[in-house]
Amino acid sequence: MASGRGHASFTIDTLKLAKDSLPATVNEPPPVYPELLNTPHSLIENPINDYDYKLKLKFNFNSSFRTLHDPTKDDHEKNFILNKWIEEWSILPRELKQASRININSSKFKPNLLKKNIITQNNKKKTRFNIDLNVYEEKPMGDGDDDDEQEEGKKDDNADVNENDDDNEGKLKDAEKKKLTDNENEVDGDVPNEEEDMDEDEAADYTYSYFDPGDRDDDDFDDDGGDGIE
Amino acid sequence: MTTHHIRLAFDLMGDLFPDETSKEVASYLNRKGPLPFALLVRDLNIPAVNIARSLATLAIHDIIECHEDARTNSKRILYAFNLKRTLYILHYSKCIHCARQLYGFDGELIIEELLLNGKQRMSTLLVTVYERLIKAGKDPQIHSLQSIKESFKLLVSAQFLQRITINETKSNISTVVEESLTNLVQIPEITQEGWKYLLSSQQDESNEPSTKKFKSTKLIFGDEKIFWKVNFQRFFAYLRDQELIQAFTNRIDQNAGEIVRTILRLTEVKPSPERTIPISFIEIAKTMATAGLQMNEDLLQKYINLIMDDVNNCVVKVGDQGRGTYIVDFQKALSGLTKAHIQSFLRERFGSNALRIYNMLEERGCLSQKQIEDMAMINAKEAQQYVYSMFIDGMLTLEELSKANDFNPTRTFYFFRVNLYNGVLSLLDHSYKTMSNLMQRHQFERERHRKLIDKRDKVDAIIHSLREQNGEEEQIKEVEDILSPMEKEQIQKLDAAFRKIDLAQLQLTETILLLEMYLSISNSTAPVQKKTGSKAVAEKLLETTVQR
Repeated sequence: MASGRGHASFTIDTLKLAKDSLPATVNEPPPVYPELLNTPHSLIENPINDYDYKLKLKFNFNSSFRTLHDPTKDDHEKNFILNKWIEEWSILPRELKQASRININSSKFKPNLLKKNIITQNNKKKTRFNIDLNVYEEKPMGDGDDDDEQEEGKKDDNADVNENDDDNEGKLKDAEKKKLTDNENEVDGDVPNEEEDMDEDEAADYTYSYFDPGDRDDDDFDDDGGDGIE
Repeated sequence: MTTHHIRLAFDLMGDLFPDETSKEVASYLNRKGPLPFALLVRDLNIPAVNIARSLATLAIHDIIECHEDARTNSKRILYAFNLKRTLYILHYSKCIHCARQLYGFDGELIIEELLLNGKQRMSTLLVTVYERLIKAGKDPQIHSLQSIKESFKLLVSAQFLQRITINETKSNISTVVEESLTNLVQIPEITQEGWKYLLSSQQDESNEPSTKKFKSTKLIFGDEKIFWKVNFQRFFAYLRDQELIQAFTNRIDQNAGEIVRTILRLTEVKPSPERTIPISFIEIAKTMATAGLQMNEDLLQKYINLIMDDVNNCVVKVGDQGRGTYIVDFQKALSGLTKAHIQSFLRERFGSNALRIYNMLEERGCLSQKQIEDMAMINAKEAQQYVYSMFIDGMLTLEELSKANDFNPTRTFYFFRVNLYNGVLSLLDHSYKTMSNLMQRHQFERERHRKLIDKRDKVDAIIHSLREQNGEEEQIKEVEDILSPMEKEQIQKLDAAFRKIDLAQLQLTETILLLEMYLSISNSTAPVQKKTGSKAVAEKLLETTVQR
């Protein structure tokens, strides 16, 4: 009995097994789709159930729906839908109305930045807060994340301390816009974004601080929010 | 909710809402359950404005429900994703088609506008529908505001539209006022000045309605707080009735179909999902006479006897007042219809022998494997194959009955039973998967041939504008020749493929509707499947029998 070196060390005979109890050998990859035992019936064609008309209805409805709810298309493109989609605020919760109104007064700028590096930013802000006590006004802006958190702070009655801090810092934003010229306190990598957004955020922050319902009664430094406008 | 169910819902949403935000928000809510707005803003990487806007849109369509958090007393609003409502998107075109058949073009436009917008006030609805009619070129004398209002009234009285009144309160969300039954069908009265404004804008035939819309003072139409939305349950009930009538027409006769239709129409006064109120023979005869169907009483009686003898027992005689009172039992009717669906599914999938086994099992209750082979007169190998395949697909269930205390395989009986509920569940799952597959295939083909499709659309647009400006035939021919014959052939094939996919989707929706209705109305529970891995064993056995 040859074994190893290209010879099988045992065969079915020696193992005394029945011939068909071993699993089948695999000659090719398994089929992509399971086998179809019977071919399916052909589809029922039109005249019985008015399918053509229904298909047309469906197609029209879908395209009207998509253009109606597409936020990017302008009104003139929606000319076959005579009314543009206006939300009916009376049936919706009030918070949604406020949240979606934030950007109305500011012209079409890109919405608030995506959250990024929020954790690191927080740390850095806090340390700067400690260190530069007398020049905290020159602290660089937080990015748009602040806006998100500020909105949370608005709605969430149990605002915790972190959010309050961010509120404060966001409010200072307005003041610092003009003053900040140097990059000494800024973090690398966030510089270009912050610079860009500062001018555009100006109006938004004014609106924001205008609508703010008094979460900030505990601010005890000067109220620079008003300076944000001009 | 199975995976396929959920995936189909999101495919549908992605189809209708082109931006990704709605889908993400909805899928997050689906995973985590109801959440307040603040948490959504915190967890998702989308700006709060976009989240708010898509939540608003979805909430108006009822895909996301907003309710106050009653548990924690904190006046927060929780947003919950409604999976069932999302799947109703499948049936939109069917509802519009129904409205068209029942109430004409006006009705169709009313329902279409309501489906596009979710909820709307009657005044805005009337104005939009009117403007669409005018734009579509219909004659304003025939389709006036008055006639639209009439169609609206009819729709409401038939309960195809539901009414919602809101009550603006000081809390974070306005509450919905409870409606008394009579209120539900009451049309709001439009104030005098509102009506005058509408009529005046109707007589003015300008094609630029937007300029005329806003006057200096805002008009009060008198129905500021009353909204209308489409009542899906009512549409489904109507479709179910149609199926029943169709079934009787196919089985017996056109007249039988008419009789069933009359019975169902008489019972619309007080609709209930399970069975209709009793209708007497005299009423049926009277209504049929007024409807103009010629049938003397004897013939009517014979037909009714025939209908009652039907295997499914859906029309039953309950009493003798008025020469026989009859009801239609929807539970039985739906189970009969779904049984037919399942039987055709089995026949297509496994062959008529398998169907024979299934029918036999249904008659006899429970049978063991050996008994099945003997009774069905099919050889053992094939019978085993069929039974195990059906078992894997969920049409049959296995029951183990042991002679001794321990479940020794040699000393337990294994009985197979037919379980309609289970079968419907698995068939419905298959259908959802098929639907998703169809939609994805459609998407894939569209992406693959995007350039060709875009080119064809542009050419069509040019031809259309040329025709409107009465261009010459030569120009049109030139434009058509932009597409080479090879491309034209390709486009034809593509169109045929798309049409096939769409047709399949449409027919599949009908099946899905029926199966879902059956599930909602049947009160059986799914049988408890013992965790014996029996399905895996069955699959293994199938493999070996196929090999041999």
